[in-house]
Amino acid sequence: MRFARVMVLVVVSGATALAQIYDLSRIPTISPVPNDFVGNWDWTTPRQSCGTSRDSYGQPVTFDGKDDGRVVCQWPIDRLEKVLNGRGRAWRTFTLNGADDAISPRWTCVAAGLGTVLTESYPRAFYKNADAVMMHFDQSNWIRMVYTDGRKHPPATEAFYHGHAVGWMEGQTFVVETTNLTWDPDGYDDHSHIARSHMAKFTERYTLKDKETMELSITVDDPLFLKEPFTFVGTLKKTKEPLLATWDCDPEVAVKELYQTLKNPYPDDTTPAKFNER
Amino acid sequence: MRVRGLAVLAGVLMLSLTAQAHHSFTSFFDLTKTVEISGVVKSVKLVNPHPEMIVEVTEPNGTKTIWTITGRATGSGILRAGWNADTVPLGMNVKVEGHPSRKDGARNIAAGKITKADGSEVWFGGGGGIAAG
Repeated sequence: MRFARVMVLVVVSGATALAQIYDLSRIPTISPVPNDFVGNWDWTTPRQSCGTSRDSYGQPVTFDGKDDGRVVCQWPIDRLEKVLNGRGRAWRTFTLNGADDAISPRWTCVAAGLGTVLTESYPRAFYKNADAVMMHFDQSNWIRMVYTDGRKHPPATEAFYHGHAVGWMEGQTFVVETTNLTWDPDGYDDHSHIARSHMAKFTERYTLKDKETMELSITVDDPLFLKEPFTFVGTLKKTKEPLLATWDCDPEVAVKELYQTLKNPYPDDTTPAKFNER
Repeated sequence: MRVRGLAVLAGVLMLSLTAQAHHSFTSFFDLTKTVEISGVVKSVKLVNPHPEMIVEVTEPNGTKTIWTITGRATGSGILRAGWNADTVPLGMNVKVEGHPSRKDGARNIAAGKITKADGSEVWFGGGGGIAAG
């Protein structure tokens, strides 16, 4: 009898200690995201650049995409320009006049900014486990974690180029909120050079229309650069095509190529030499 | 057919010449100009961010030069449009139409239309699907 009491005490103590160590109460038992969300997805229509920009040589470049249903704008630049505030317009003017490609992190093969990976015409694969959704984008071959375990964003003192993403279900819609972003000179795509600030918040809303179709709405709220939040909506379809899962980019080669080709308005820019020293 | 596929794969594995960052066309290429070359396909890489083809050109003086053709399509896009290892096989004579590099003396073209030995045309990007429009 005494032995049995001791054994019960040992088991209870052990279980309590384990629960404290692993904080079992924090582990959700099931992901809130529907199983149909999992799989490979691609845009229903090709997305391409729309609007006017300038190349590094100051020449105007008109991207000829038309948001007419057959070809959808990656970001409708003309519509986006209308909601830029004074600061946003000033930066737009600066980049249109300078088009300083070299300041973009992509030249050292950093995965493209959030606005680009979300919208460009590359497929993506979604997976889930108990406490997160993993999004694998063929654009930049980049993997993103969206935490669904109820955690909060880190304090504003911490910032990341691709931000910090948490997700939850609202009815049939999976909502993803991304904050804690760093400033991005290529805030929306990688060629129109419309900047996005560290104060921005991305809200993605994924709504399954059926098992094969999903509507994606993206809203960017960026009080430093936009007069009002900007939203656009697209449709993804499920695909059986696997991702290529490669991104052929060598930082050393890319930087070298860039400076050999780019019209560099800053002759005292020592980036290529510094980069080679690293 | 299988041998040809393996040959393309070998070409892909052997050649990793350029590794430019994505979407450099307006910076790297003069989109206001169009050039054309003819030569023999030495490799095809159907990769992201952009597919790449190596073409050997015999210059008027008889010397052979290597040209790098960067597809204006994405790797994912060109596969989705139907490209595979047999679309433009190794060793085929092709004509490539595209935009020249801004770099002086560079043998690099952003393509564009590829005209195959039998006269049929395919797009390597910038023109829609696999078939030339």
